[in-house]
Amino acid sequence: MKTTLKYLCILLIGCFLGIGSAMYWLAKSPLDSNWVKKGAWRTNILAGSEQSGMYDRARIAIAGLLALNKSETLYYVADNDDSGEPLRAACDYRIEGKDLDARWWSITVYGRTYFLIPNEQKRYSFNRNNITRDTDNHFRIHLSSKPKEKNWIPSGQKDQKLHLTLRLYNPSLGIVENSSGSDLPNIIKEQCK
Amino acid sequence: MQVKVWMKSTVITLTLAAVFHIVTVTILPDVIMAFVSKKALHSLKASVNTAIHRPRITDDQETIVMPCPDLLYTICVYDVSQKPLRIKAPTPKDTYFSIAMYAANTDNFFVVNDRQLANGGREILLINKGASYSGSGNFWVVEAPTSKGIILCRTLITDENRMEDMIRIQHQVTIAEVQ
Repeated sequence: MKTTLKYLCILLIGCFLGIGSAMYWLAKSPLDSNWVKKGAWRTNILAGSEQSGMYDRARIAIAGLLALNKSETLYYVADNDDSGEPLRAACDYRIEGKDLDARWWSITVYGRTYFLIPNEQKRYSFNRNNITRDTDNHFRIHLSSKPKEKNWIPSGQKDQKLHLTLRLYNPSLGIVENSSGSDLPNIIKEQCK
Repeated sequence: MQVKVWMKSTVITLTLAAVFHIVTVTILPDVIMAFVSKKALHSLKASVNTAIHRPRITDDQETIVMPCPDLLYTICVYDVSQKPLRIKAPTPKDTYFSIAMYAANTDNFFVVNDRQLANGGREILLINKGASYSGSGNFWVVEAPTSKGIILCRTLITDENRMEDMIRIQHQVTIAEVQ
């Protein structure tokens, strides 16, 4: 009886440690050799690919299920601003850049659990077709809980961590071959509540 | 003697932890994919091997994480263990469209977009691994690495004032079992 109890304890502790360490490791910011970083943005060049390793595949399943492979679409994600601080709904941000070298691109904002942030305007993203550009062809997206004049994505009233995703559909060969070389938008914090 | 027993227990615990760690990471994509497939079928009241044309995604209509609100999705939970599937696709001239196929472990094993469809025929035949198809026609024959998985079609909303056109293109996707 005592031996059975002992082995049951060992099994439970092993199970707890194994599953716990797996979830912790998967939740950690992934920056292994398959992830390419550019400013605040990072992309996994093997997302959706059959060549993905077990950790990358599991991470994509959690936070980017049903991703396309990089020849079709490149996904850049950002959890921090340009200064390295986590993106928060309590702060206002400017996302500034110019058109990206792809057939089509979009920038979408997600809440803490990677779902769209509820808002009356039903506005969650801007893309190549609907963004308003300045006279010099640059764009400026405002991520804020308060209304802005143009290119405004509401970040909601609830303070939470935010995630940005930049999608490049049919990216140019130059970007596919050099994912860290392209000019990606800057994410600039303006003020916090 | 007591130290030896503790060492043995520690080694067994750590070995078990390593095994659970690897098993968790390995099977997690399959578990998530099975969960999403089941949830999609249940919430959309659909059956396998049928195309489900979803309305535009909003915050109250999400079934998977990180959806793109600029796309119209058509989803199909497939099972080609018994019969192959025939997928007919549109080739729109003024918007992006793609058909992507995902294995049970989430791998994107096939994708084709509107430009490639326009050049290579508009039909795809999805068959089970190891199966063969002797029929004729201008098909892409695609072998699924796993008998179950998900097909996801994306239609880009290029102009919000032309939603009816976009929905019409989306609904041109048909998926049916080959009898």
